[in-house]
Amino acid sequence: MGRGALGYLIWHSFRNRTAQQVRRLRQPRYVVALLVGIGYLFMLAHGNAQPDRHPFLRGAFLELGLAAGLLFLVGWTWISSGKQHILAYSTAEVMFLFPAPLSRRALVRYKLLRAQVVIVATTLLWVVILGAGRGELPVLLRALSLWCLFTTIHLHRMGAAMARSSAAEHGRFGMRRHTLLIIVLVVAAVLVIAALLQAGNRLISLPAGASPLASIEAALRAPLALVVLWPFRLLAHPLASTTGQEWLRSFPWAAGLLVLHYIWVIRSDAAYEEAAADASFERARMLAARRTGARISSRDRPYSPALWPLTPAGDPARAILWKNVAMLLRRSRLRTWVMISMIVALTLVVASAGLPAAAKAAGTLLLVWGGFFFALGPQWIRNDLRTDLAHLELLRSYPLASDAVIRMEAASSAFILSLSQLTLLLLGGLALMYVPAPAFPGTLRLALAAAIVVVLPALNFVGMLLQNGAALLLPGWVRIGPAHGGVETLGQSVLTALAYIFALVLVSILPATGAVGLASLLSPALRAWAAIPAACGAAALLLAEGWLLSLWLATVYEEVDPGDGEMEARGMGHGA
Amino acid sequence: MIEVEGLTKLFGDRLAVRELTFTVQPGEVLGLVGPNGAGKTTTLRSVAGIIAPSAGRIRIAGHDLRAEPIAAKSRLAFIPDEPHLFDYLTVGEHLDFVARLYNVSDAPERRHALLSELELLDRIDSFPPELSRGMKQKLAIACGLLHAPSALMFDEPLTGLDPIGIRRMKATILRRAQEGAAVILSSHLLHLVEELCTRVLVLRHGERVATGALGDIIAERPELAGRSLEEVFIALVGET
Repeated sequence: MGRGALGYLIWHSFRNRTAQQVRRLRQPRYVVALLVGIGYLFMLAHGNAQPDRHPFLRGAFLELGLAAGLLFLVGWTWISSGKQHILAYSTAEVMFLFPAPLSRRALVRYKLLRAQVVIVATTLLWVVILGAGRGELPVLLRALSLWCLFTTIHLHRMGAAMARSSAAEHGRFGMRRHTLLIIVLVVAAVLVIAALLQAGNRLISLPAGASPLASIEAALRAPLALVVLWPFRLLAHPLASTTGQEWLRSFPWAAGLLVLHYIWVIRSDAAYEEAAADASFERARMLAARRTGARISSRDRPYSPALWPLTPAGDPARAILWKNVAMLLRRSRLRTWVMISMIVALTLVVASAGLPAAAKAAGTLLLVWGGFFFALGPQWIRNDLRTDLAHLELLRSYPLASDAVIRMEAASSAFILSLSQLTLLLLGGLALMYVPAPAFPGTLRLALAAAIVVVLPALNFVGMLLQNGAALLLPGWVRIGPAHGGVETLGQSVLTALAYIFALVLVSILPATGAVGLASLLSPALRAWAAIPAACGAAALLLAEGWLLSLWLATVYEEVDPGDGEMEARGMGHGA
Repeated sequence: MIEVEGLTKLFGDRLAVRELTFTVQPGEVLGLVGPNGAGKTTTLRSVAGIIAPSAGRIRIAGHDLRAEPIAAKSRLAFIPDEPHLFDYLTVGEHLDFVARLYNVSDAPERRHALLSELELLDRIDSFPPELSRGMKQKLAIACGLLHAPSALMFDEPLTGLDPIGIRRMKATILRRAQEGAAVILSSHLLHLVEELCTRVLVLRHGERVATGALGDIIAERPELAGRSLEEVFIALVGET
């Protein structure tokens, strides 16, 4: 009986949600967005259909790289101290399902089945992203590999969340209950550290001329690294297979891992109810606190050093910037700052130790990371209108011009994003400083670095206006509030990032043309330094575009109704 | 003073408020009453500049809300039924933020006086999640009152308050009216409206059903004489 009801709930939720999305197509802007999206996906699929388009996305390197990524993800899952959101139910689910006569296992299975809706959608997206038309592996096999990978990761996150929650809940007794798991984790941690040291030694011993990718591959092929990465390679191998036969040989191992994870999660059901209830009530309590104003405990207290003072006199719109920077500082976690400090320290060590291959690999990784941050950062750093739309009623009551609000909201996230990107670029540049690069003499490097410092904030400002504009124009389709974690949402994130870059390229055509023109005009006199006035010109043009965009978005902002069903359904009518 | 003339608001094809006209003089408390869906919140949101009216004119302290939105909004405060606060700003920082938005030059003095009046001084470094429902409501009120608005709007101001909180809230509303603010109070609590409001505006399906002091409304309809306020309300909105 319970199983039927849970199946009914999943199916009808999915059906109604889909119907709701379809109903939005009555509005022309959603139809336009859908058509653009379909065209974009078609282009992506068609583009990826060309063989050997991305040679690094196949074979042994893909398997190793993916395995290393999975190791990092799993390690992060166990280390991170975030709340166990993966176990949490919605408020309605807590109210209806927890008092209902349902077994723990039924609840676990319900949770797993519900996650499948997102996992299957993500799998389909990734099939498109990775190239649906490539002939090496049939689409179905590629989809199955991806599904198996995502489902296993999801199960692992659930299992980890339950184990950690149960251990924390039961103190010493909880630790005893999980003795075997703790032993496995400690052994794994020791092996990972030993593998990292061995891989580091390999990097150091490599010749200076080794390419960054070859250096990384050599480090991952260190004997201990191969041991540590073995289970992750099992999971990654089907996706890296190039023939059906290879896939058939590797998939059973990956599927076996999935089954083992399923058994682990299902057998953890004794701990599940407490962990899930705790997480659900935590979430429900937070939601209720937001809606009803109930008090919550001091452990939820955001903490950060005092902000810089905000005087009553001055441009009122700047108060929005102050508030949004406070939002990001106080919502960030300690682990983020620890990780940043570790990266800075490691880079400084590598750069100062005079190890060319290691410096080159570290510098390249940091620059690549900076590139990723350029594409995906706008989705992670959301201290702007995408979060503040939850306070639309309040914002609109302030005595501020709408275009000023839009500009300050976009500037808030652009400021933090630029700071993060420039830090990564600075660290990458620092690591590469001692690596000889005849193509880029010191003067040119310095001039290019200065040009980047000038143009990047302006580019990010326009980019954030685009992101905020999307949230204003398509509030039903754009995520409002903080970024969601987990690989389940990674497909959507990658697609959004690609669309964002495409839009950014479009708005950059005019400034880039102007910059190139100015640079070619000034380069005979200024040589490499011509890059700086060219960047200033590009930044000015970008800001002018941003200004015009903000004026248009202000009219959209004024038309958004804070009380309509769409906003309220997405929790946008109440406090943060 | 709040002046509303021919206020009409459409949501798509649905008419939420139709040609509503009223004024609230300084020192006056206007009670906005009506059944669910009568258009009370839409009226308040329109007057607060949160949503744009489809037609009509609104003036706050002499400033046209459409033509001079910043000047008009600088003189008003809207306090909704649910306190809208930022989880990541402390009580004191909320007031600093509002002081900058409204350019309140004597903010430190006003801040201290308000926190003292609303008994929040000892919670100045607390974040909203650490506050009780009543304290959050008080903080929202402090934010609304910091710039000494000449037009004040309350939407269900007693929601979630304990008896002591209710008493203090009533005193706060009356005090601002006595100091010369024009106040609009929307509530389903008829005894609150009767106690605090100098006039009432009864809405039904977005239209005005009656307006004036309660005695005047009853005087216009002799058949309502001697009935309780609840019965008068039901008779006016035509629902049982």
